[in-house]
Amino acid sequence: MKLLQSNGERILALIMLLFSGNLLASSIHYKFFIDETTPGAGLFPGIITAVLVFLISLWLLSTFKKAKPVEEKIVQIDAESADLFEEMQTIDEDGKKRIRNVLLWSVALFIAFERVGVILAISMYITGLLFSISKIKIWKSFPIAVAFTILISFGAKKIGVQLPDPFNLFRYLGMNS
Amino acid sequence: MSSFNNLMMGFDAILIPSVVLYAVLGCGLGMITGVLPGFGPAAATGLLLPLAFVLSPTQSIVMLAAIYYGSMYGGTITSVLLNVPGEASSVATCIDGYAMTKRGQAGKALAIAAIGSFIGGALALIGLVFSSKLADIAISFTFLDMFGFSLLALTLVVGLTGDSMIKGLISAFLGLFIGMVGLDIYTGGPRFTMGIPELTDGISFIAVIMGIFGLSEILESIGGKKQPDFSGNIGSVLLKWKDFKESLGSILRGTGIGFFFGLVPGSPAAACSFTSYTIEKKISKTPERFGKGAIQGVAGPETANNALGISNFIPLITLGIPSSATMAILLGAFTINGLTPGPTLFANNPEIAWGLIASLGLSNVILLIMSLPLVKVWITILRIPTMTLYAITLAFMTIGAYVIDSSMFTVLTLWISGLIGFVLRRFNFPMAPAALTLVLGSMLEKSFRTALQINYGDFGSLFSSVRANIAYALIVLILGTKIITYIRRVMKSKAQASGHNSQEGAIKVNS
Repeated sequence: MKLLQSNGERILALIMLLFSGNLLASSIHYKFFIDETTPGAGLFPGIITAVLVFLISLWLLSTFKKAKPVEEKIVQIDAESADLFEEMQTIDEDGKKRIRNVLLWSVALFIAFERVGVILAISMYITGLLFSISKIKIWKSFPIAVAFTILISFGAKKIGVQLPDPFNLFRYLGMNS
Repeated sequence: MSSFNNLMMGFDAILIPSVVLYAVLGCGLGMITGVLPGFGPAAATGLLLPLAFVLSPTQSIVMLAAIYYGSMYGGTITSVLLNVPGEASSVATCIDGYAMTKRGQAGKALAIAAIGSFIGGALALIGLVFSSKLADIAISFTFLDMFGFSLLALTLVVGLTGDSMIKGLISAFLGLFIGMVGLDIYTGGPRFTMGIPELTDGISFIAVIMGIFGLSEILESIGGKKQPDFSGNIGSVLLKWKDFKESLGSILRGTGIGFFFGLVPGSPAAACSFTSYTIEKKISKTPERFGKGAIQGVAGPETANNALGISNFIPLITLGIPSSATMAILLGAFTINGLTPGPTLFANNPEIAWGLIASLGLSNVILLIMSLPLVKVWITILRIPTMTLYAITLAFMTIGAYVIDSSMFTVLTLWISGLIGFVLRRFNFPMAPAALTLVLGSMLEKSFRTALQINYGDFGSLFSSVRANIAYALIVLILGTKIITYIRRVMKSKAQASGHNSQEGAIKVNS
């Protein structure tokens, strides 16, 4: 597990190093000085990205170190709390599945939001999430989703927020101000 | 005008029905969001930040301050009842708060937390009113001074870096970088926009904050193996005189500790509440009761936390420097409304500056009224399965992100930031430094480039101001202390490791 974590750290550090290196190159392209006395658009980003490259390199190097300093905990929490935190932060197979479901439903929402409008899209989204991650039956989750969506849309309308509604559903619900 | 008269002017500005209504609504929404397991004030304020777009400046600032206040108490509820702190500063409350819950005294723990928070908040507010005089000094700051102090604030981020200093600093510099995307403030040319037209206005600060704090937290919780639940009884919320008398000293000490910690930008809130906890335990005649449900163990840290929450506003409204992630988010709310927090706020928009201070007093009272009588409502919310709450929160977030500029690109920004935040959290990157630098970055660049431009590109001129030099000296001091502490820790752990090895060797020899 620790090996996987440090491999993951190395990969992430490498990706971030390449990314920040690219940003540093872009900063140079934006020029550090316009003329002899006027700082250019690239000066400040240049400093920031150079430090970023340095810090990420340090991090990358630290992933190859074997010994790690003992972390000083400010307080010793009891074993029960430690177990709870551990379990809340551990993502198991079911957890991964739940996250995948959330991402899939969110992609669907992203596609539908402006096309079908807030009421249909959000109702579908909440129904889908309640069904897939909360395991609530569709006949129960759908009314909850619709009720919440109408409530939120009503509140948003009241404070003057414009939300997409291509089918004029707000009018049918008596929400057109 | 005296500070008292100014405060009265602030109350005049906010004591109108619509603003009071938004304050009540803010407290309620803050408490509901704070009750979401794992959600601290930063996540709650970030989640509800889009509301700042649709309200008037006074309404939105008052509402966000109320949300901040409400979410702090919401976090206390989960710490006491579920043993789940919304943020690091609530961990100290968990120790004795949850122990009291296990003994059927959760109501008492929640009551003393509410009363302690009220007293601590009220006393800290008096300090805040008088410290507004600092703004008179800060108004004479030049670009050089502002650069020095912005850099100092950035260095203080080191205090928020968590376990790994390198990861904290990477997070801080990533935040700085995100703030630079968009049109350059001087040349007007696009920077790091990758040819995407939506990026010319910059990356939406609110969407990023919502993503890295709120969304990433939700994703982590959704993936979590265990979901916290509460099924017990809380007992009576009525406090006996004896309990209050026992806690009064802790409350007063907590106020002093919290107020002091809040004055220093970047001082970790967790250290503040643990300092209070440790002091209470040390001076107690019955230290053995701590960890088993001592009421002082809840009263002290909770009061300190709240007093810190109020005094955190001092660097923000007098210098324009946010001292925590939540303050950075509130700074964002100011800028959304076209306001610049800092010394000029008192001169240009006194009704907003004093209205904010007055609103903290108002929220303090509202919270006391709402917290205990409505405790059953908050517990009902806690009994709703967390996945259901998360599903609804995700929908709310999407609508919130869309509201910012009626664009799906902002929703996409929210999700990308959320996913990046989620990955970084898995590798123990703290998110608070990124939030802080995201808002400080533009201030830092503006003061840096203006100072250089005024002085014909001479870098030496950056050291020509006494106040800036004081800031640089403090930076050297802070970094030096941090590095020495780190080296000592490494040496200590090496010594421990070698001691352990030699012990093992001795055992082998003996056997």
